[in-house]
Amino acid sequence: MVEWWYSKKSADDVILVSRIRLLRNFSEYRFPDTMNDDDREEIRERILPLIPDMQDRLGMGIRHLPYERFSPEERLALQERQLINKAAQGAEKRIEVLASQDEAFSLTLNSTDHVRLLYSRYGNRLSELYQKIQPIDRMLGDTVPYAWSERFGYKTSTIANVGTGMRAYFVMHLPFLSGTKNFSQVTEEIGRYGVVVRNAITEAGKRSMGLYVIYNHRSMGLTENNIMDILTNVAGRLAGQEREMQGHADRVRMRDRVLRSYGILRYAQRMDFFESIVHLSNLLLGVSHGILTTSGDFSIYELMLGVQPGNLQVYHKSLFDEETIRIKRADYLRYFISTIDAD
Amino acid sequence: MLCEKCGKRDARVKITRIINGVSETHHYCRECAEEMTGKTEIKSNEWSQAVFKLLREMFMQASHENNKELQEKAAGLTCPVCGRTYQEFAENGVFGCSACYEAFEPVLNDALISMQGTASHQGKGPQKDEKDTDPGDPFHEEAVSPEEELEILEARLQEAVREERNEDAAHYRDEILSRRDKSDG
Ligand SMILES: [Zn+2]
Ligand SMILES: [Zn+2]
Repeated sequence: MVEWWYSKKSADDVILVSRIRLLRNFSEYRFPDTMNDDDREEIRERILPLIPDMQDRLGMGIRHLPYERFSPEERLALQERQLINKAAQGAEKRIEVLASQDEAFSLTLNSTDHVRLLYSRYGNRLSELYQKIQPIDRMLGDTVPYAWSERFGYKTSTIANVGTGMRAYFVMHLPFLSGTKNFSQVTEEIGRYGVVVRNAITEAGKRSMGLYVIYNHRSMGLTENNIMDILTNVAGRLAGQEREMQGHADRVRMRDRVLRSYGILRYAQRMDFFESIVHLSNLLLGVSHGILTTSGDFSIYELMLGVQPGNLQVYHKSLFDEETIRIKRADYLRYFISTIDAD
Repeated sequence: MLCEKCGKRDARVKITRIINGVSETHHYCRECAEEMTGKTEIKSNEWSQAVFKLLREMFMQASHENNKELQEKAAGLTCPVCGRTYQEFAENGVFGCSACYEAFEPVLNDALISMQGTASHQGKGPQKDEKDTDPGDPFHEEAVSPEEELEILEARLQEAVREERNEDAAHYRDEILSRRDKSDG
């Protein structure tokens, strides 16, 4: 379970999540694309003993997941929760996945790059996350020297990530802004600063329901602080616009939009993934405008992660066909939504 | 992906039309896209598409007969540590080891500039923290404006013409034209 969502006190209703990803490789070993099994094992043997140290520096428990024994659904579930990437999900060679108990932190070893460090939290806090991940980054590089040069910076497996090896992300909820006519011009303009704005969830033929990811496209030629400044600045502007539009929205229409979705999620018996995200997006709006009150120990965004097929199947510890997944998704939603009160 | 219009050549240009606030995206080859310029807005640089496409194109350019020097330069490159050749690298865009960077350095420049807008690193390293000399507000000084991008491309075009790198020159000319079309609306 993604426990780091639980803490609601600093939750932001527009900037939902901040995330930092760093890619690193060790200079003594060939990169994962050409390395042999002995190299993999050696890296494993040198890095895994650092776990107690990592726990000390992060101040939280870290588990080495028995990833090689995971079923395809369990791997998919980790990917849906953004703990590992698609490459790691489909990895044929042995990789290692370390994760903190609350899943805020993860380290993938020997996937596309030797090291993939990830740190995520709710709200708007990129530089804080970057500071937190620094000691781990330093510890790994001190143990096995990183492939780095003055000119290229951190040498990653592809030139798409070279330099800082850094990608900074925000997950944003922009239901009003994304519905405006010139939103695509806005995102294009933002692209000039090297920032990509993308639908967080897409399905063929269907368009936005307000959930977006924004991240830096360039990893080279900008310092880590530049990257975070640009992202934070862009996210702040988008969030400001979004809040202003929400503030000016017609109250009756807003309540109607929120409560319709609430009614559907509370009583529906089968539910498509995309449809559930549309309604959950409206619930998020309802919570931030006081139309809905959550009393349970979960966030709406956590439900958005939970209704994905891999997570539903892992939650029930079973394999389902598509129709059963729809039914289980509706069950899952009714269970949680019943603890949410409408004003 | 093949061009939506002719269905023959590789789609290299993404065209986004915005009609009544609804955007539609189409993918065309350079030739077909050029034909339609003026009517639509061209976003010629979808750099987020796989890097290896670009590398492959560069390799093919290098393999072109008119360009023996670059051809020999690129084709002869092999990483002394992992044995990966530049051709292999150009096919999937993946480095075999740390030493590949130095091995392919002579031809990496263009790929880096296209992909990253620069070919040199800023920021921290394993032994040092991020440089104290902050380059300033990235919004105003770091981001390359469309005008600056054009200037850079024009300089590169002139250089290519001077050095009689015809393929490169054609490439830069196309880039410049598509950007001008875009800024003219
Ligand atoms: Zn065509
Ligand atoms: Zn190599």
